[in-house]
Amino acid sequence: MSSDEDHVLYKDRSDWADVKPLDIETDKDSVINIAYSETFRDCYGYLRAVLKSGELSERVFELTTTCADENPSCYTVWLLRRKLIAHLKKDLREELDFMVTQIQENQKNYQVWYHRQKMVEWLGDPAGELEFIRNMLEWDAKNYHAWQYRQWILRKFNLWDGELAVCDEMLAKDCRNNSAWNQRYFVVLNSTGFTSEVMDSEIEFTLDSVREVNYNESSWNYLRGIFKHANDKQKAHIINVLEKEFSSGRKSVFSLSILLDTYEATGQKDLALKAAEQLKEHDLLRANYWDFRARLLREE
Amino acid sequence: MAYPLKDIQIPEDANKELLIAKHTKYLYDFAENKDSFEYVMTEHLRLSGIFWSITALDLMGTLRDFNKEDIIEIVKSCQHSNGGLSAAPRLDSHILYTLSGVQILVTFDALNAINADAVVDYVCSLHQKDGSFFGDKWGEVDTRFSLCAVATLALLKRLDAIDIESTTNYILSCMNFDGGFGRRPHSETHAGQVYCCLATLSILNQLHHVNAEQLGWWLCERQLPSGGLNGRPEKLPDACYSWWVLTSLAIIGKLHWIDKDKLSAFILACQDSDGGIADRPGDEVDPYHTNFGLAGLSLLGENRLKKINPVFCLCQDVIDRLKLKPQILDP
Repeated sequence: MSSDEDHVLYKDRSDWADVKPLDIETDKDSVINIAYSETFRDCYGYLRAVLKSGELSERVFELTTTCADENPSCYTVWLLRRKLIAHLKKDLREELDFMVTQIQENQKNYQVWYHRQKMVEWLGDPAGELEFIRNMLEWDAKNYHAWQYRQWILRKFNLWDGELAVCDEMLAKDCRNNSAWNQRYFVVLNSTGFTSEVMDSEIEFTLDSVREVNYNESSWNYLRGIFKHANDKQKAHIINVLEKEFSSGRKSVFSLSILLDTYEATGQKDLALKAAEQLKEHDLLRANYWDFRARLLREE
Repeated sequence: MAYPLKDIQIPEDANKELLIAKHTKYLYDFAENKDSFEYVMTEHLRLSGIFWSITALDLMGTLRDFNKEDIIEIVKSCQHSNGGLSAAPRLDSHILYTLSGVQILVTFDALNAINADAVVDYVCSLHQKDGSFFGDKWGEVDTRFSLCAVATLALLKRLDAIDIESTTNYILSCMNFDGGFGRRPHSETHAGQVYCCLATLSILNQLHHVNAEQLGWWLCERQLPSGGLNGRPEKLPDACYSWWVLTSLAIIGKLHWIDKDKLSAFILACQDSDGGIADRPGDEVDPYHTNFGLAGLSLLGENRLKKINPVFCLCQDVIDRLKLKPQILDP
């Protein structure tokens, strides 16, 4: 929220004297009632008035800046602001600059991200956007909005070159980042596709990752996800590596569960059943699930 | 096979009993104290806030006549000439608040307060050729909006107004390699979006497209040793995600795959001794987490609460009165 000491309330501005703010509780028990800032009460009173009158002007544009600062979650402020930007033909680059702080201060807010996306769509130019998103991901590497926006930019402007390397980097920093694994799948699917050669490198990349950090749901899920794109030789290779890992004592619920899946997918029922029974013993929170899997296998 | 996870410790002195009287008082006070910071700052989601509060009260059997007439008037004043509803008077109409408004009115059996045909027209105007839905005229697409659209039409008994096949196909295009669903095609799987997609398919009677086994596994992986559920891998547990995950499991008939007692203890521990439920033990409470915490307990079989419908997040008696039977897969 704005803590600008120079801020002049709209009720004290001569250029707003012609507007009567709406829905403001005036003076009634004002001493005890002001639980929120006067700036907030003031600007939203004028916002309601201009929403009613339909005024589109420079002063309303300035008012939306205050309202956005005071409560960026109010979606109508952003809709009105876009109307004004189009109507007043505002400089879209300036608006993108304004959105840097807005997004930094409200990273989990749907409206600010969508507003930025709309500005870039209107500009038709993604220059600087991938870097901007990378910076935001430095703050929170799992920010759903940031990844969503990145996917939109990549697809809209066809910017696939170098994106797999970005996924490599993100995963090198934190191999448990599920968002980065999801991005990896998205990038491969939309750029090269899961060809046999790509699969060779994806399998090695993923197996290296699970060998390094065994207890990692995300990498195992990725391995399970790409398994269906593997040819028979590649499937046999994956099973072979997992069995070796397993027999050397590096066990996890994840590795055993994917072995179960791969045994099942390749028709090795007895081994699958054995894995399910072991999981039932080790993963007590989900014992009912493993019991279900074991029953299915026995009934087959 | 223990492994390090992001999780919380439930404090030893955490609440273990359901505090119905306290939650009721908290929600009544919240609604009446119209000058509080929390109340004023949430104008932009007012109708949803009212929906969370009245559903929570309805679940506890303490809704009685909670400002019923006033609330119906507010909902009425939120309908716009395009048929859609806004969160509060004078704000813009949006599919999110259109559903909240309709949910409130069906709870009070007062659908005639608004122009239902105009709502149907509004929802249809947001439907796109690829089967997705815009949230409003500005064009943002999200599987949350698909659920809002389909649930609104179902509650108004007007599912015939949209093309079911394209709506279903769009949801299916958001299915990921882990069996879950995201906001748009290839968006990361997220428990809240999984619920939206499953509930949409359930209302459309299309759940046979889901890989219930793989998705069920992903969902029960969300349970952490504390008993709480998270929304994505490596995130902290949260009472509201406990609902999104739990109700998703209920829709695909796999509720028994998680440890119900531990989840129940987690939600009870998120209660504040003065009423209200928070995301995690000791945090600030709000009507949103209060509603979804109670809804979760209801699904877990808490017998002091009314039964919740997992698809519409309304009390089952409301859904029965409307004679709606959303699809639920057999265990």
